[in-house]
Amino acid sequence: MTLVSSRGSRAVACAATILLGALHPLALVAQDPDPLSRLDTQTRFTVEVIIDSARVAGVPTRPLLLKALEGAAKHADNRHIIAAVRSQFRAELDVRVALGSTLNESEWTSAVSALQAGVPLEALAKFRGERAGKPFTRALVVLTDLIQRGVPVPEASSAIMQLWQRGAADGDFYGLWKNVEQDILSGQNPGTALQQRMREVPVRVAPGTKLTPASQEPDNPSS
Amino acid sequence: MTEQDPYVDWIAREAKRAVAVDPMAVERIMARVRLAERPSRRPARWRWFVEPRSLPLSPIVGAALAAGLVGIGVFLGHLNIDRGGQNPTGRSATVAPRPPLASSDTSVIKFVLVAPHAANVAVVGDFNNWDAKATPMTRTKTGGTWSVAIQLPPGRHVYAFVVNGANGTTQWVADPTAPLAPEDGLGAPNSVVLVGGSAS
Repeated sequence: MTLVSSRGSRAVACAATILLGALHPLALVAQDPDPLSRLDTQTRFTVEVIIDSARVAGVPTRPLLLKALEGAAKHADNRHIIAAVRSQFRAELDVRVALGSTLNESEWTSAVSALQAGVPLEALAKFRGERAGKPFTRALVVLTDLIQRGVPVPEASSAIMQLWQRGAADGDFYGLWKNVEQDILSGQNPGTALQQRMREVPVRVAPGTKLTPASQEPDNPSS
Repeated sequence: MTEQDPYVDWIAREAKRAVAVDPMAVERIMARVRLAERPSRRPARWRWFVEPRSLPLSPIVGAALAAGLVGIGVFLGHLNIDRGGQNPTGRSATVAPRPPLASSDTSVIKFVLVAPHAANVAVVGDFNNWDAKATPMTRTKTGGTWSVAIQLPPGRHVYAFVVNGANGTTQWVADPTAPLAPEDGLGAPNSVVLVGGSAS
């Protein structure tokens, strides 16, 4: 079909060209094929170098990309974005040392968060020794949150490890977290709140489970 | 009276002279007409699509038409690109590919925030590439509760709410009903949601 404008095809062509030019950036944003374009050139270059390093090292790259995008969304300055991405990368390397590299992305990120919250590598490594195919994402998410809310790191680590060794269900972790959070919001000392609420969690030991000494002292956090 | 040109008289005579027509001529013509193939009343439909024609267009209509075509392209591109972190062009080296997830693996998660004085609220997180415009929340008819329900794949997802006030201020808020993610130096706290059994 031939389109012929009464005012001339040139006018239509000009208008279409201008419109296409105006809409082109919108099209790119909508498709988002290059999310790092939200960063300035120098920051992008640095982030890409870190991501390449992660790829070579065999640790997840997507969390690094997402960290950079989070920084851009929050309008953090370039220095903080790079620092956050670099911190994430270093933590991933530490997680690999502590837990190995056969983790799914959720396990990677939850372990990184636990490290960044202050859980020592040795405590994290215990999850590897006791893993036996059990996912520990939820345990680490609750552990990280408890530390964020003021529970001392040794107490929180010990309590969550005990629960996990006992075979606590997802609901047990969630219930513990919810109760401790409410107690803290009510003004209770975070460590005390955890200690008291731990007594309410039912013991679920699977037949044949070998308990470690730590797990045999369920209600004795160091506070 | 002027003397007439003899050629004019001759032309006038010839014009008035009756023309002798062969009486069979009409029959012969009609016989040929009857033998000729009868033209179809309807032209072939496909011709309508290929026949060139003129379509008068004002510049504004032409521009609107171009915008529509671009919109279709954007829509199709949005459908085609970056599902599960994979780019069919293969040019994105920075997005780590994720295994495609069947729709049955996803769960609908409802995010709710009470913000009675907000002008608009959005949920932003790793599931929408931290795009503050991607997932706006809707205010309920009563009160200042904002909510949105979205499908998420199994796993751990980090997110926050972006609350825009009526006075133009923007504030990042963690979900008060969800576990906290650790501070990451980017200036605002995040929350964590776990989707699926054991969030595997």
